[in-house]
Amino acid sequence: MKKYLLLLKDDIATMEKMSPKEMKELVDAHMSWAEKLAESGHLISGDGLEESSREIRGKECIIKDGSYLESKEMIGGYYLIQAEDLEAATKLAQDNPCHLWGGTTVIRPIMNYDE
Amino acid sequence: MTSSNDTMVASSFRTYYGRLFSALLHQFGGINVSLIEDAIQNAFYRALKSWKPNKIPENQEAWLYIVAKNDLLNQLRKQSKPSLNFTELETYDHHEDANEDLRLKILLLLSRSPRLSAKSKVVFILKNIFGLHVKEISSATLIAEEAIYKIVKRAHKSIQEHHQDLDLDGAFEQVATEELTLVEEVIYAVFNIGFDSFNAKKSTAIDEELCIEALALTKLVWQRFGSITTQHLMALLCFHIARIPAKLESGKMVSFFNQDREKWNQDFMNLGFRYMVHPEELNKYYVESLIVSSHMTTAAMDDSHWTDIIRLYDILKSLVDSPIVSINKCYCLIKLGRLDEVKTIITELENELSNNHIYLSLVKAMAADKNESDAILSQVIGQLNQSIRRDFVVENLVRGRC
Repeated sequence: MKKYLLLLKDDIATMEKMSPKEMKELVDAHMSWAEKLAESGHLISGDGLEESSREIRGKECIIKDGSYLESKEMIGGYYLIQAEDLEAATKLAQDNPCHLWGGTTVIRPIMNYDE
Repeated sequence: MTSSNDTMVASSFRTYYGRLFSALLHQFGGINVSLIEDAIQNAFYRALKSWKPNKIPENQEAWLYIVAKNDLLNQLRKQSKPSLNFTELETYDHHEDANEDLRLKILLLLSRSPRLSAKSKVVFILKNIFGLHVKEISSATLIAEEAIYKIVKRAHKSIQEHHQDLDLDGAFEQVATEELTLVEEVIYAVFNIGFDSFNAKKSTAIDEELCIEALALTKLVWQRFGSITTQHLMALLCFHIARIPAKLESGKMVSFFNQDREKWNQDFMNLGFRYMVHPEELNKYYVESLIVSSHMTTAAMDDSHWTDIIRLYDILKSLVDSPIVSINKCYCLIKLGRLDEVKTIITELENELSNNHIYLSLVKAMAADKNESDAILSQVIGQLNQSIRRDFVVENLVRGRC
């Protein structure tokens, strides 16, 4: 089994316009998706991320506050999963409910130094 | 579905929205109404990111309240409002008011606000007390989304200007009958939107959750003020809700008189009769309950039944001067073949209502000869944007005539 990091990008405009009912549906959908992944043994961990962020850049270590508001998308959370290969991981990630509301999932295989 | 998910389903963000809005408005005042809306939305978004299958807060509403309140405090700090006593606001515990539903106070306050039009009140209450989103309100009321945004914006302005300090503690003290009447009307309007929602995208025409929530709020009003009119409104809502299970069949709408009576919810019907205590003075909800319940219990839809109903519509007409009452009466007159009377009423109504009032057109089509009727019906069908309703008109009226 290989490890994969799923980065979830939320579409900010859609999120701001969601109705309470849709929000509830999305919460429930994430909940049952995470539960399904845990039951099948694919889930290692996962969390939501705060909106605030800091960036440190270059040799001079210039620190600035992240300005997520300027972008259309924001990384709102991550999942760490394990799967047979990238194909299998993609298949699992396809069911991530964030896609139903304009979100994007980026799948990055975790580098394995033993191979 | 697992047990943790079952408890999730039982709770509704829509209800939470109304409660959180009312609690925060109570605490932070009308001046902050837009910030409060943002804060609740942010709290929902945080719930999305931090709740996990084995880490759902036991008291979701309290969790959302604390997160929304902190968000609001942060927003206010950024604006650095010197007039605010942050320590007091931070320590204020919303659960002191847990026994009282603040939604009722806000509902009363909004209903009695002289500066908001009836339409604005209903829209604003749908949004902030019943937790409906602008696009949901739009599809349920057929008011364009931009128009709703404008209404909400104007309502915000009015609340900010005139309800800076909400005197909610005194809200229940001097409640006049007229104010209660307004609250009842607003709730009934909300109920009807749920019961008769024109949603073009969804395949279902009934928003059951909204109907039940309207009933729950009516009950709160009744328990608080004990008015007989509120009690009769409850009876009426119960009779309507009882028919919801029969209103749709394999995705198609079934008209009242074609519904499978076996499917009507007997418990709600019984409840309706329990609330129908005979009043000293007639009111419209009582008469409407009489009409609905006699339709629902009559053994035969014969001439004597329709004659009785016409008599009730005449009584209702003396209590409320609404064109809808007259249109309903026309329907009964058609059943008795009294077409000349129908035509007289329709001519009067056409001066009052717009030419393409859907319901009036349908009744007109029923009373007209075949050629004229076909022309009216095809115009109505062109007007309906909700396919489920279009199917209903086609099947029940057009085909029925061929």
